[in-house]
Amino acid sequence: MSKFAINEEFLQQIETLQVLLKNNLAGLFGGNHQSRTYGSSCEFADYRNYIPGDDISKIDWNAYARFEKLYLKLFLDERQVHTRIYIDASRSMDYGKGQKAEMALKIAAALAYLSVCEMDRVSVYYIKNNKVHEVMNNIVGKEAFYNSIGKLNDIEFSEDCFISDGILPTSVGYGDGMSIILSDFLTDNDYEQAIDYLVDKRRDLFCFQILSKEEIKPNIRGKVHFYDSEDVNREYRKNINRDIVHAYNKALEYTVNRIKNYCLSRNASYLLVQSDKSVSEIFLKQLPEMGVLK
Amino acid sequence: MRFMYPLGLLGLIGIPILIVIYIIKNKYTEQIVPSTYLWTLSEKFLPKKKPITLISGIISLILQIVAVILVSLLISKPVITLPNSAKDYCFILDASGSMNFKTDETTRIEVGKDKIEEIILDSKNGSTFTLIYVGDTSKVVYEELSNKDKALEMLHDLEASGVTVSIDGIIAHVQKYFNENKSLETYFITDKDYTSSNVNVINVSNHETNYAVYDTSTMVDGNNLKVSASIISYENDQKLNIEIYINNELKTTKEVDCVKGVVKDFSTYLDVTEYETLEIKITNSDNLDLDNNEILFNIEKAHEYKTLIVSDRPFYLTTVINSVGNTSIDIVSRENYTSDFNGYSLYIFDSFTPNVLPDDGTVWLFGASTSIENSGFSVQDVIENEEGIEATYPKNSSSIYKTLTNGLLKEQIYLNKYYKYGLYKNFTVLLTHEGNPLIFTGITDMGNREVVFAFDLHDSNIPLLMDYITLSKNLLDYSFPLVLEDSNYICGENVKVNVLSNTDSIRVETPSGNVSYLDISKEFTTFTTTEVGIYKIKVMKNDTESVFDIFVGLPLQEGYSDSTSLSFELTGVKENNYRDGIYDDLIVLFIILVVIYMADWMVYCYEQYQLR
Repeated sequence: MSKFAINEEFLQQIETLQVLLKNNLAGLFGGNHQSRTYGSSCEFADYRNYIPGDDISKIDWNAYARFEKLYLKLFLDERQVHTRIYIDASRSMDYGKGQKAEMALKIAAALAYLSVCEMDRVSVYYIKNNKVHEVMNNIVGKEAFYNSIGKLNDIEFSEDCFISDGILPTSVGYGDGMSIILSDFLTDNDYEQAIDYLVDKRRDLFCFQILSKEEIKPNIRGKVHFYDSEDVNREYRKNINRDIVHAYNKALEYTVNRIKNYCLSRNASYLLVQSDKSVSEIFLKQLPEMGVLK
Repeated sequence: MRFMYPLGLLGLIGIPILIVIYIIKNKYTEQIVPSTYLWTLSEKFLPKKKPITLISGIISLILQIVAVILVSLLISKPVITLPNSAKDYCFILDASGSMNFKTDETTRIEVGKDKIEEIILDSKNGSTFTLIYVGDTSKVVYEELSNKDKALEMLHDLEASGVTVSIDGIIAHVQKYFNENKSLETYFITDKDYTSSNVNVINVSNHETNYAVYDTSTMVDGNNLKVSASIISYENDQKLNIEIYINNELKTTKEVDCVKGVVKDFSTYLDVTEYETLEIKITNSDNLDLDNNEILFNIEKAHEYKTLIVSDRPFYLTTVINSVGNTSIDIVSRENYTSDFNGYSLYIFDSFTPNVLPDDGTVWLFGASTSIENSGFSVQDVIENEEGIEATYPKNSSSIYKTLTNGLLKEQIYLNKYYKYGLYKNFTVLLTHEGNPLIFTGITDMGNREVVFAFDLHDSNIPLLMDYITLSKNLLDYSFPLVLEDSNYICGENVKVNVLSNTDSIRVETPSGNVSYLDISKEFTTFTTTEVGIYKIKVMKNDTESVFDIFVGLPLQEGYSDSTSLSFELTGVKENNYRDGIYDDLIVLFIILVVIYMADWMVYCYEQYQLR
């Protein structure tokens, strides 16, 4: 927990929160998430006529006494979901004073904790180049969480990240929970296919775009020669002036809108996170306001 | 093109140095960033570059290189030769009195100077300029001067005089220049109607309005003073308003109808008989002030003297002096005279021989019986003849003799007795007997004028003769020489100033305030009037200052310059073999340099603004 330093106090604060899922769940029984299907929870849902073969223990005998007809009392089902968290482990996430990687790990850890608190299963992956690497798989329960969360520190942020190329070949489940992608999305590489793929798999998708303060509001002027941390062959040489900064802001706006609008069009959630913001603000304010947590 | 100082081009070495500095200074800061994605993408959102912005990155370097080039050129002084373009100019500037005509506060001579300035400024470098000033003096201000600034500076110092000038001598002078250089471009700047086929006449006359008053005179008529003058309106029929001032107080005004170009004689009577100053003035506004007034100064009033007569029988003397002299008289008997008497302009010793001659005035001696120190003569004998001694006028052609004997009828003079004097100084002898001087004039050893009669008036028939009055007047004039004999002059005239005995200095102040001191080593001195207005002549004599004013008027012909016309030619055929001109005006380069430095500074400021 040293690298991303999520402390006990914060975990206790967010422990009371619950992730709200949009889709009808197809997960295993036993979780805390209500399904649209009828199940065995304590929460009453509806009545229906008895059909021979139904479990007679669910017949509402009080209703029979009043109407002399057999009705079956239905309760909502509660399912265990599988939260899958994908972390962009490219070099750009962890270069300089960006602290984007740290923010990504914090968010991942917090979301994973929330999930295990809901008795859900949690898997955390990182994407490097065009492969998805497993960090934690099917973690259930706080004890397992605590035992595994330290592995996040082992993620090495380097090279490039091709989100679609990484996620598409993997098993992402079907309608059984939430998928979370943590990336800066500063790439020409395709990530739309991954979003479509996850949505098609009836996963609740949440994209966190994590950008550093310097990326949102660059404070650079004068003659500079930039080299890309992921590929030194990508360079940018310019005398930065007001016009260029203005153009940069437009490019940033374009990039943010690209991912944001795509997510909205696919009924996915999106949040732009500035890496130097506090995690508490994100989890205790922004996400509840978005209706992702309650 | 050539360079006067080619070594200045070494400054161009600064260009590669500048480029190297620029490259070093403007090295791009290398930096690894998480992602260049946004920066690269921003290229799509940059506004389309205008051609000028393509060089915006190096505009500062370009400006600095241009600045270095200009500085090198400024140091090396490039000179471009312009073949056959530089001319030799000769300007003749008429500075006569009429050039004082003024329109909108600008005189004709200023207009003329502006014309010359235009020609000089428009001329190609390498041209030469000769300027001949024709005013109170004719002088070559500069000759074949090639420095335009110097030529203009010396031109600006010139002013119009008040005199009339003749260009005959000037044409001869210009002819000399023309003979030496047949390509000479000659310009004559004047307001007269001169014409010439090979001299460029620039006429600065604009036929401005002018009124003039001249020939003012006065005459006592009973208890009145008759004032007469001539007035004229040169350009139009006009009713002229005349004011007459006596001793600077307005005495009367008068209106006179004048017909254009016709002299109107004008006279009026004033209820005074004497004055110190009389001014007659035209108050109508015109373009030449100099001839709008005339002032008369009472010159005799300024020359009042005091006379002491030491005599027991002064009748003959007082009678004649009162009648012809302008002096007050004090009489003292021979018994009461002492050498303490002083402060008189004239001392007359009648049959009395003073022990010491006075040192502060003219001395007349009648029948001095003993020799007197410093008198210049000695008493040798007494000649008596009861039957009468016939005096004779010697032959003498000197001017002073003629002056002293002027108007004498040379009636026969008889004496009973006279003293034989031996003269050991140079005297002018007016009357003799057998070679012995009877009446003579000269200068005492103290420098005072001296008139000596070798006899007592009562021992002669002189007081009974007509010549007595004439001779007395001539001797009084000799004894009381007027510092100035006239109070009115025309500009350009010489003023004669008599140098009185014991004169310490004579100071002349012109109307414009110029001061000069005259030579007092001779009996009289002269100076030439060059300005119109009141001259002040201050005479210092025995620590006493006497001030005499004279009025100098504008020559009549200068009031109407159009009346003067002349056609003249320079002898010879004009050629057009001009010399090579040069273009070395670096002020343009300097201005461009300043502009470039300002532009560079603005670029720098803009860059700093961009980097905020």
